[in-house]
Amino acid sequence: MSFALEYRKKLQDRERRQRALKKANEGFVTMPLDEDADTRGNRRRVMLALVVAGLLLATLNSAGLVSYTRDMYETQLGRTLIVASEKWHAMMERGKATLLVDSVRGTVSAMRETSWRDLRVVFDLAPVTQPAPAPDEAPVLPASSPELPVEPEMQETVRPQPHKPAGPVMRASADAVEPLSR
Amino acid sequence: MLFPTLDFALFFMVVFAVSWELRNRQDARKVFLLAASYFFYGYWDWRFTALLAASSLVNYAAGRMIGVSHDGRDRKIYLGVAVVLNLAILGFFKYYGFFLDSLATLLASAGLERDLPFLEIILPVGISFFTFQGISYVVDVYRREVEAVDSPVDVFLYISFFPQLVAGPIVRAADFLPQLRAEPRLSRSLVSLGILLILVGLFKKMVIANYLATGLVDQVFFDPAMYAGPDLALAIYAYAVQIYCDFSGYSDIAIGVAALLGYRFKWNFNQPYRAASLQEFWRRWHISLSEWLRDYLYKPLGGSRGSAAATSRNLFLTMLLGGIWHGAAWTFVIWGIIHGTALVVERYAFAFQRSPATLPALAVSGPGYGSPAYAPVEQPVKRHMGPLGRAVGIFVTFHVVCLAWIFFRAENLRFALDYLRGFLDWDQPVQFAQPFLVMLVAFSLAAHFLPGNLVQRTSRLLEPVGPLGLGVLLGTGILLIEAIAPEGVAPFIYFQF
Repeated sequence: MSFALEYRKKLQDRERRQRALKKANEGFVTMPLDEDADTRGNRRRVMLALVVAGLLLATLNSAGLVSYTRDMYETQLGRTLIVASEKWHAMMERGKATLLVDSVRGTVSAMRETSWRDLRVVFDLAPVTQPAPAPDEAPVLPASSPELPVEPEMQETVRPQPHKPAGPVMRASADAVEPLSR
Repeated sequence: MLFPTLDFALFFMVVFAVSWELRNRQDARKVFLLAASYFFYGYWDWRFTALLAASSLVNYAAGRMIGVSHDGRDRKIYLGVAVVLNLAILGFFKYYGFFLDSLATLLASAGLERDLPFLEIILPVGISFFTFQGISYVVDVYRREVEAVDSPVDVFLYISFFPQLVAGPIVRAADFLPQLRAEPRLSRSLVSLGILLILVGLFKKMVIANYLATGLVDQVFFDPAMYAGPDLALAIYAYAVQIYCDFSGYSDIAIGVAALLGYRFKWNFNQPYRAASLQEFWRRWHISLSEWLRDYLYKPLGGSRGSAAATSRNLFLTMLLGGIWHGAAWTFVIWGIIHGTALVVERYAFAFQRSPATLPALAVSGPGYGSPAYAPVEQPVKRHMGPLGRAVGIFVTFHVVCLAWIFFRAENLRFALDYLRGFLDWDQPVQFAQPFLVMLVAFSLAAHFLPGNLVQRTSRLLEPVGPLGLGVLLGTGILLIEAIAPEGVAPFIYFQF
């Protein structure tokens, strides 16, 4: 093959390759590049946003703080932080700030336990058939009856707990490199 | 340090504040980011920071020597030494145990049992990623695609920059080093896209991937012989979703975190399960690895310049080595073989479909330049595929990918074969097909068919939002994710690679 032909073929090859790359890059939007960015203003904006987000999380998810401090090393500072976070959490609970997270967890937990049968009932695809109770299996507490008084300690223990996953879950410890799953 | 933890949130707040404070002192900013990256990496095990530094030093020195040398032979020698050293580090930590195990089995089967020097080796997190970035740098300097960098800080930071250090995306020197030289800028679009990507990534990882892992996939793959067809089918679909959400979630967070620090990374995933062919799949899945394999493996092997048989061989070898890169196990080898074989078959099938009469001519010239990731085969495929053909293509591609995922996820070859055998039994009662998990899988797969640039479009809506609004959005988003997700934080799947 002559030099000219070889050169032409090379040129064509390069063009084809570039066309292929362009085609493959369609829909592959690169990150925006703004030359006139107000960096100082945007830095302040993000810093403020991070602080607001942090305050929001500390208020509405104070249980997360308690769990985080309990995972800390056994030091004087760690113990102080545990006490402080528990006090903070108790305060948030009294102010009902933790209700949102608890209710979302409750809803998700209910969704997880929903069966196909429940769904059929919800969408009116199957009749609600409850077996009639046997004569000697009368309900101990009718729905309308007043609840039995609960001991103070029991009230503590029956508080809704955060959902626990079915399988093993690793904590966010420094040495958590063993994979949970692949 | 894992992304979805309070530790990382506190770390990032400090890094963000200090790094932007040092904006006008570029060198100090880079040194600070380098120190932060080593702190981030050393948080797992500080001893491995020495390995990271050694790898960076090798690549910096090799890059300098290649850069100053004008003798082609010397340059080749420096490149060879650097690549061999990089691969030796990777090989020792990743494959030493596997090769000794295999050797011991081989010797035992031949009746030649020997005491072999087995060692208890801990795999450093992200070793494959930073090794690949190092190789990418020296090869690019050798090819004169980037200039050798004088400042060791630049090379060390390029290799160890914390957002992408442990699980990618694999950033190319040509993309990142120029950004280190330019003055960093933080625009409204980078801020809104960064925050949105962090939220999307957290949701994918903490909600979808973690629920599917703990509620279904881990249990079925723990002992697949105990389950029948329907549960096995659901579990492999769930794993396909889990690994996508886990890995792309990490990439999203990494890209978002880098954006908030003023650096731009390319996308690493682009709705992979809507691909109508394996070639298209590799243009959408782990794009940075596909590009790496194309440029540093497929092309040096000969790419598609030779005969059809040579091109097929190169394609197959690239996928096989890509499989081995994931880990030292026969399951990964088979994963690579499945992808390699499917790509070769597809290549012939599409060439035949395009024009049977001109098949030999097409095969010789090769319809695809570049790699499995960029071969321009989608064009003819689209031309010949109507909507029905495309739907069939998506269905078939997804199931081939799922078949390969069985080997990728199974603990060993026996479990993978048990899994496949289980598909013959459809009589046992279904155990896991609860509405919550089924919906999670179905919605995640359906989300692949949403517009491709939905995140970018949504982020544009956030650009005018003030700091208070952004803070409420970020705080509420994290709060809801935390409330919905199962308790605890599981490591990302790709940390082990």
